[in-house]
Amino acid sequence: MGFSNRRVAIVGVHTTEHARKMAQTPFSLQLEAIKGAVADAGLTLADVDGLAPNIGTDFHNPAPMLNSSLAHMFWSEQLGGRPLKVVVHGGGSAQLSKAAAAVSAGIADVVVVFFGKSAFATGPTAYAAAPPGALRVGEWDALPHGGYLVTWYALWAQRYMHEFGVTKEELAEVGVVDRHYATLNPASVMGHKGELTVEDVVTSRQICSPLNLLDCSIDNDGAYALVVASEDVAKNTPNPVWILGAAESYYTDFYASIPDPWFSEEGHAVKDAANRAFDMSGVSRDEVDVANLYDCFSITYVRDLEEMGFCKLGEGASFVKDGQTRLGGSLPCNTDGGLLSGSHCGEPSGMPTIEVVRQLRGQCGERQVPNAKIGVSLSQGFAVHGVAGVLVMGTE
Amino acid sequence: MAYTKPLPTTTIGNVAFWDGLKEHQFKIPHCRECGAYNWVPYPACKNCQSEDLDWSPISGKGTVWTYSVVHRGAGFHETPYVVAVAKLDVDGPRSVLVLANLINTNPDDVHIGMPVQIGYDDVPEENMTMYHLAPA
Repeated sequence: MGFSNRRVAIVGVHTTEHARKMAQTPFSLQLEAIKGAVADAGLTLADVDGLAPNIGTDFHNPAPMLNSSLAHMFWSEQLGGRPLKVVVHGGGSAQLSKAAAAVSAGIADVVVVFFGKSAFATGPTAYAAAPPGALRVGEWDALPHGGYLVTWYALWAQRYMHEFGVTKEELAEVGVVDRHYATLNPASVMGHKGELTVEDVVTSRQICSPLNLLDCSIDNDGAYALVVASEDVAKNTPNPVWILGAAESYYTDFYASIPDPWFSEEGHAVKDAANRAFDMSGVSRDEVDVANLYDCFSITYVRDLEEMGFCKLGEGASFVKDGQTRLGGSLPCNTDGGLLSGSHCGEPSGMPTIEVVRQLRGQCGERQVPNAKIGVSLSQGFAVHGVAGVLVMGTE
Repeated sequence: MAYTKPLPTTTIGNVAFWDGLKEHQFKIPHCRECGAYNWVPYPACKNCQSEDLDWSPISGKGTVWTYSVVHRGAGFHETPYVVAVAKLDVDGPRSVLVLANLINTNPDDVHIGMPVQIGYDDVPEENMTMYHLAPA
């Protein structure tokens, strides 16, 4: 018999409350997300036979950000003390891609992908409690030189602006569009603050030039989960969204190690994953109704559009400025408000897929893209773009 | 005065680089097969995968490839300060882009293409030397 080649769907999604400084523990948030996603699929925990825990999910491990191989043992015992057939590590669309492949092959039938965090920071305040004396960090970490995560993206933004003649004001459009969507999403963290202008973004607090505060993602708590299931399971669930194509790609393990050029027609991991996922799906870029692209910073969103093949190299900012990513544009993007205004819950790489699933189900209220049938999600990280996962999804 | 900035955890495989800094030399992995200089160090050449590497001193001269003026730091450097990536002068099939704190300059004067050079900071109490960038 060998491996199967089964159709696979995302059958359940759930997001807990996402907010700043939540009192719930990461464990409690994750369990709530898992239960919620399974219930959304009309399934029970007893149906789950695979897990895809993201980083920070092993509650017997004192280092919560480690992607521990012990996490599956913790969770298989916690969820009822029974053998699980597959465990997938990773993050976001890449992790969903592997989970879908395992389900398609028949290794498992129902896999839950989940993450949640509270009570730790991911921004510069993460270092605030350093002990006296010289803190030791990784051998090639930027921190001894004054660099941290935002600095990396600022360095990429500065070089990008130089090579393509893009201005801060043009990058700022990303924050404006994301915030507009957030105002239409009652679950977003920043929507209640109201609309932004380009002026608001470029005059917000300077963080690492050329990036200002409102070019950067927020840092909040919250959890999410998604349920991936085989066709036999999915066809009996209320709202399956089919995975038409899925791919992941890795290019670098450092921000610092990509040589000249940083921006090339061949691209890096995102372009590779996008090409493969689109090829697998048989869907063309033109057929995409809605996308959710990983926008940890304004520069990331602009580069995502280019590397995904939705516009040409160097034209991402003008694509946004022209309104193409707004409702009514050619490619509505990040309709939940993205990571800049929707939610960045520490490791939000599954959130883009959840929003696309909700769009394709027609559950998005004021921010709904009318009649959305085909959607794409991207998760990425490391140097815009060192790692990437892409999912192409459809209602049929 | 005690050194209060973070320091790297050095590894045995890269001891030649860290020892080079103590001599105020910037010695980076150089491939004897294809001539590529590799930064940051990996155990084999990233251009041709040869393990036949030596640690060759380079001039440390170059130009600013990109930079950021940091106004909100992680708490270890007095703000504002500049973090830059310099493209250092090397021969061979790969470029060498090195990130470091760019000191001795007004942040407003920094620009892409600006000539810079690697400099050295001895940290005797930790028995190591760190590197920075400064205008050439």
